[in-house]
Amino acid sequence: MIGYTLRRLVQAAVVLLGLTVLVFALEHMIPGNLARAILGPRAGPAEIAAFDRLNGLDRPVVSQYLTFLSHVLHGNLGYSYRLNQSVDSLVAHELPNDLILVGIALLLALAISIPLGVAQAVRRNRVLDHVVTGVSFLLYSMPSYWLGLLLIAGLAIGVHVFPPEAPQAVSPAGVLADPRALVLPVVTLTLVNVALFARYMRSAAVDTLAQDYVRLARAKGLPARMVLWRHVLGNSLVPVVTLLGLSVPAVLTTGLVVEYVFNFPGLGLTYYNAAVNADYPVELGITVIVGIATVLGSLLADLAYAVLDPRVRYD
Amino acid sequence: MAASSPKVLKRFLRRGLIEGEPASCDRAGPASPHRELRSGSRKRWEEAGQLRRTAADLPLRPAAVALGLVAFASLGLGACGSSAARSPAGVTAATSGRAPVVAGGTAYFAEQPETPPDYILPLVSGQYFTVENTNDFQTLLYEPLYWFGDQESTAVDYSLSIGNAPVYRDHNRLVTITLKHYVWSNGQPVSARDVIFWINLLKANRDEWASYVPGGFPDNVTSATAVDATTVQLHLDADYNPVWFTYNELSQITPLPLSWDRTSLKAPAPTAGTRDLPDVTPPGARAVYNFLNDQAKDIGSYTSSPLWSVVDGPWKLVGLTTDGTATFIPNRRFSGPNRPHLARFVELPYTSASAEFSVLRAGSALGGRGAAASSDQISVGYVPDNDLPQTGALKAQGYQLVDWFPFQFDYFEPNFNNPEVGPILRQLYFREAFQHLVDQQGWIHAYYGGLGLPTYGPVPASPPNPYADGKASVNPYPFSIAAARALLVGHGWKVVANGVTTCARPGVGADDCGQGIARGEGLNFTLMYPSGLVYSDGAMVDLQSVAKQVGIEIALKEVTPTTIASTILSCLATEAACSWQLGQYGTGWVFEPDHYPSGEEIFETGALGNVSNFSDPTTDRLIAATTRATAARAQAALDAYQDQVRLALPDFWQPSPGTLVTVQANLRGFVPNAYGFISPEEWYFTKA
Repeated sequence: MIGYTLRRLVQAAVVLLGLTVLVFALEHMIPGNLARAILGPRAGPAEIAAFDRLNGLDRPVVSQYLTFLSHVLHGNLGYSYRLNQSVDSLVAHELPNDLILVGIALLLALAISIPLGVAQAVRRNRVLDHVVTGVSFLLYSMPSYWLGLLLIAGLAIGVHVFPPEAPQAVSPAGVLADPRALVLPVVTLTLVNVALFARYMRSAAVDTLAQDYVRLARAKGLPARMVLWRHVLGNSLVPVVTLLGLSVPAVLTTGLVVEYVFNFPGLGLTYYNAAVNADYPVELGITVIVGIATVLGSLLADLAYAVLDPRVRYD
Repeated sequence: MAASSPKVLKRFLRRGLIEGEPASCDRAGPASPHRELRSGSRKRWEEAGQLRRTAADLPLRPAAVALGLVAFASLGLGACGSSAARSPAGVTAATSGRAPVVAGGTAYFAEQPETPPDYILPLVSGQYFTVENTNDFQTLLYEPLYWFGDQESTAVDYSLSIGNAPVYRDHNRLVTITLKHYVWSNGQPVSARDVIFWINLLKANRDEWASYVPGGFPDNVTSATAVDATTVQLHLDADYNPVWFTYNELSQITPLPLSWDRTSLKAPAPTAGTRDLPDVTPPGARAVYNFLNDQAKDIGSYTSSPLWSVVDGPWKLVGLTTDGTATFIPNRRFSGPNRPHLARFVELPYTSASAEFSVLRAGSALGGRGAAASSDQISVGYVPDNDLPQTGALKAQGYQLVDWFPFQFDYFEPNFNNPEVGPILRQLYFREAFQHLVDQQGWIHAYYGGLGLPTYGPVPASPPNPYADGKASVNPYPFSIAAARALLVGHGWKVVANGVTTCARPGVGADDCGQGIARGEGLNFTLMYPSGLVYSDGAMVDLQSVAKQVGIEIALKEVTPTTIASTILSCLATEAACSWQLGQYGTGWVFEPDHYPSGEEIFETGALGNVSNFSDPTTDRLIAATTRATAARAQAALDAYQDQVRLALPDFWQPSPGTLVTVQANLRGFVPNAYGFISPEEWYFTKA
């Protein structure tokens, strides 16, 4: 297991290096003049030259990349052209809040979808199964942007039960101190995830219920609840764990939509704006962070298989 | 002479009355009696303008117009003139005419999405040259030498300025500026030396300044001297038009406190008596600028820094989060005429216009103190373009709605140097034909949600200003497909509706296609425009459809605003960067930070803003005349310039978008600024 983990970590480093090369190269292939894009079309040649000099853009691309890499290895992700902040401070400020929002939503989604999926499997093709399947499809096919706006229209503008914004506090403690404001964004993220996880859980549980060892357990007279808890649940979780591991980038993707709709500054939106505004250091910095998180998520999911399924061994 | 970045151009401004409150007198704020009177005059002027337009549209006789003016004045403005208000400090219920004034309270102002204030030093590079940094942030803390645009006026307001009116002597080569008694919050007077400090920093770091144009300020100042504590003298290198120099050059000066004149925080803060300050030599000024620029990059220190806490504006910054929530309280030592009435002013960041609108809809239209003051509400916000159809719901909530237009004109660019279509675009008849296809009124109605003003030339007729001549509100190229077709046919083109029109009569004669255009050459163009703008999208699709009717094929290319900014650039025909053909920025040319509507930065040959590569000796000569005319000849020169450019079509004119601003029902004193500044010191709450 240790050897496997080390090998995966080395692979991860190579993948990350390739990722940075790719993103760096793509950014520099974008047509147009970066300094012009940042300074505006009426910037004079002297101002453009000063900008290029200050940001090292007058040096060869390879040299620029090596400088970036050196900075990253020293924990310096760069400085935003547009936001007048270091990328480190942006990440340090926004990532914890993102983790709170997405983390709560993921936990809630798991708490709801796992029993729901099992219940659907047990009551397969009965009313509950059909209703939950229908609702799941509805939620899954509904863009989270739209869902968020509907919740705001109904519960914030319509009946004023919840505020239309996510917590506006800067610190994680401040965010947690405003639970009312967390409700709508968390519900939006949770509902989308429940729809997804419940479908996977149902399929896995249906498969597990048909396994010989489940039949044997029942034949031995084990109570139904015990069968589900001991033999069905654990074995059905493997695909959900895979999904969870792959959900790490969702901090960017799903979070982006919620950040946009609920006025919750986060990494997803920062990344999007950096891409649109040619803010290369931010784009690269967040790419590195998310790349690390994605690789680690995938690794943790692989390791979790061994815990959940004794047949899985890593040598 | 300065360049305005497109980042400052999209601004939620629009001229107009607060809807549903047509003759409210308290809009002008209770700041001072002179303001009330001036506002009344301005309003009278506006209404007269409206009546003039009515007279043009409908055949009203002059006598009827005059009668209307008299009737309006007696019904509405007379009442305004008589309700001279007092400051809420001496609270009087009569001020608002309906509800008593509430002293104090917190007003919340919605920032534009994802553009938080992030640079405090009022000598800004292009990187940080945004409305949010300059107009909404720095000017609240650091007063410019001259204040422009207040109460929708396009003129300089000397009553609100640190500087008295500049005096021009020696054939306009010597400018003398005297300062009023203003003080910094550290007790030091705002002095002539503070003005020189700013100029010294600029001279040594001109390449870092967003507004620097070679040959312009400070190149055209041969020497700047603090004659005494309150008098500055500038010697100029030529005899410039005094109005132009005041509005375009002096307009950019912001006195800086001498306590900033150092190169480290450990160094003692200089005062007026300190000798041998570093800014007097170019290397020293560069070191000071580098130090200040570095300090300005530490946003977290803005409220605690001994540098930035020294202010002479009406507000002090007491909070700024990395997200962009900026909190201000009144500067108790503010020595200008408009002391803040609010207890706090907060600028709130939004991740999207949609999020801002949700808060408007869910929030209260009443603001003020105690429970009424909450960041879940927006005292002054805006309606996103997408949500203009929901204006009725906001009205029903009780918001006041204000149209805000800046002093600007709007256009999209032809590339005269493009090797493929440049020869066609260089033909005036073709540009005239193309301009006839721009349905400005139709676009305003269909795509701008009614929130647009037509552009007919380089000096806009609105907001009312003394520069636009009588022709500024007359469209020389009204929407007419038939006129466009006739111009093309008359110049040797075989027009094929819904096909591709081709040149049938090449040559350089008066009735031929024109120089550089070959027989059989078709009218095919690519037009780039920015994504994310509802009105722009609709208008460009309409143009494509209309052009097709005279056989002009336009391939639309929707790209990000950043791509636009980095692609639509001036170029030589031989350069690869000259491949763009037609381009639209999505934003217009706002006369900020240069307030005089002369064209040396956009239409003069080789000007930085002349991205279309337009070059016309006549236009160049007329532009030069606007910057060099005597005061007596200034308007005649400006008239000659605008009449020439209006017809020469260096760009294609299109409507200027405005913004619908929402103001809480019990907030008074908000009036749009013609150049996009905000003055929360003029705002105050009344009881609901």
